[in-house]
Amino acid sequence: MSLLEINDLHVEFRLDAGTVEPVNGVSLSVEAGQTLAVVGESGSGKTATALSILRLHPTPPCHYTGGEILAGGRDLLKLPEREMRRIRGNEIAMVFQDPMTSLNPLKTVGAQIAESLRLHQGMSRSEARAQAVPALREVGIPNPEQRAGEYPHQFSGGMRQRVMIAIALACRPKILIADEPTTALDVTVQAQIMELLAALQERFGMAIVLITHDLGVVARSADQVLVMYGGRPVELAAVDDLFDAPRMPYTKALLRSMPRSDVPGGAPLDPIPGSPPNLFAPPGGCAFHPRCSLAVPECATEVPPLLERAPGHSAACLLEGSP
Amino acid sequence: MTGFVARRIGHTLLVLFCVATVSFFIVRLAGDPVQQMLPPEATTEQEATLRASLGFDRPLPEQYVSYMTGLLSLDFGQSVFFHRPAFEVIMERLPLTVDLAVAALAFTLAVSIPAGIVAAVKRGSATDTSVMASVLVGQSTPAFWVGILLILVFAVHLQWLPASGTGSPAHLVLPAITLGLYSAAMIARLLRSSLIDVLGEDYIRTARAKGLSGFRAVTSHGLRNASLPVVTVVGLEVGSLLGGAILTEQVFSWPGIGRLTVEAITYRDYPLMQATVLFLAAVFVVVNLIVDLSYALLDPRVRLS
Repeated sequence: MSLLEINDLHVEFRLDAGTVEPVNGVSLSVEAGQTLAVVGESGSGKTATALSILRLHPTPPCHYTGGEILAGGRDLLKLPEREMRRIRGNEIAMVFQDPMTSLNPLKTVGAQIAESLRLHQGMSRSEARAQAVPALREVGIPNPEQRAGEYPHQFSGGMRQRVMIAIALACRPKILIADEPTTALDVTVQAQIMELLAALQERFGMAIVLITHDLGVVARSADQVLVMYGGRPVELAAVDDLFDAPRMPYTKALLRSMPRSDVPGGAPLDPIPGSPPNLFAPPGGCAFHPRCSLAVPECATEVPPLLERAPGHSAACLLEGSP
Repeated sequence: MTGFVARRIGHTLLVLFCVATVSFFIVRLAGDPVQQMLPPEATTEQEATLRASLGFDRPLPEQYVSYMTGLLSLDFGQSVFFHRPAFEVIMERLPLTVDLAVAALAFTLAVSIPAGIVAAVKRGSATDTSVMASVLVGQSTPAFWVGILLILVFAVHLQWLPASGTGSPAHLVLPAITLGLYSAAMIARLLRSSLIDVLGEDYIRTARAKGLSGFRAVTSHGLRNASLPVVTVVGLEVGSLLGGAILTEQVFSWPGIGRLTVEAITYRDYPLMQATVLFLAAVFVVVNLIVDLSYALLDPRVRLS
């Protein structure tokens, strides 16, 4: 059974400059012990989807206009804020992109871990502080007794991200949302953080929603992949299927644009022409059609539905025909 | 830390030396105290006698050297008008100015902190707009006018509070409000903008993702981060409050350092003028040192070196 299921989620930002719909009909589900990667370029709606799960968008300007987010038998979009607060950091936790700015510079890391424990597990200040030490040890921070009393600026980027993970996992959430957890880190540290997340997932069996634009990270860490473009889901498949047999032209182009190390002397990069769609004035039909080399006239008028084209492999493209 | 404080004390002494030197020469541009003290019909001889008894007949460099040597033993010279040591006169007035400064600061913080927080959290709302409008009025209204208005309403018409003088806590209310209004407006505005910046930071989102309420995220993660620029300004305000509020003390006949400064200038009382200027400079330098030290307490990233 899915720990988290999103059905046809629609999110709108009503801004002075106009209304945008960063999340337009997203559906996904993720099971215990599994990792779902959500990929797409900047502005594709992947982070907006992630923040919607915990309802962390400021309202206004954000409005959840349709769909449902099911977790633990409840629709999170219908919960009152007070109950939503009991879920945040407790049942569903989140790790953010930039560990340099996501920790409060004026509080010790021990205090920042303890905060969740006091809030959700009713621990006293001293119990929670004591519990912060094993939480730091768990994420591989050496000398945790001393480090718990230090401030974020005394930690390197990778170590700070470990602290963020310790905060997120302090209350043993069932679901972890990791929003580009390695983007701000250098490559060797990226690998260490992804290994840490995998090890902790194996140990605690949580479901992970991994937001990323790094297809290398996807290939190594994910079970399922959801590709997003212009706020819409365009392809959903098991990770091997997606890399072996992508169906949506955008996914194909995305895979082609990856730098290759297997060609001697290096292959020239093959970028996707054009720019991501302007969400204030999205193109009609398939949002990718202006950049698609295979587009036919119907692509400009018809929005292709996300349909299952092969077992466990869905794609939204008119060229795939009707099943 | 110890090295930092030692170096800052060195700077402080240098600043005070410069202030003492500059004020010594500048006050002598205010006019001749001897002519001010004597009736118009006094003879030249009487004038010379008085001048000699006050030591103003000596060459300027000699006066300067004896003034500076006196300072080393806290001798600020004899007040010409009060016929007592200038230091003693200032110390006598200081408690009244401290009372007023503390009351004004309490008013300032009690008004500005809640106003700044509410305006930042409810940014763009009608509450924010009305707070910011009040801030604009508070910052652009001159203190003497506010003082007179408060006297008219609360002392003359309603007769709730005394119009002037000292002696009871009730006497403090109107001058404290008059004095604190400008600072309250300025600090509310500053806290609002600083807090708005902080509330957009990633760690506030982290706090919300942990399950903290919006209110707890502001109070336990936002305020301390937003307080850093505010502390500087509060420090400077404390400096100017302790230095004596010339206009407010004048309007409410409050015999503190502010009025003393005015009296010293009116009577061309050189030693007293020099002493009040030096006192004001010392207050500012010390307050600045305290502000710098408080940064280190508030922000672990600040290294005092």
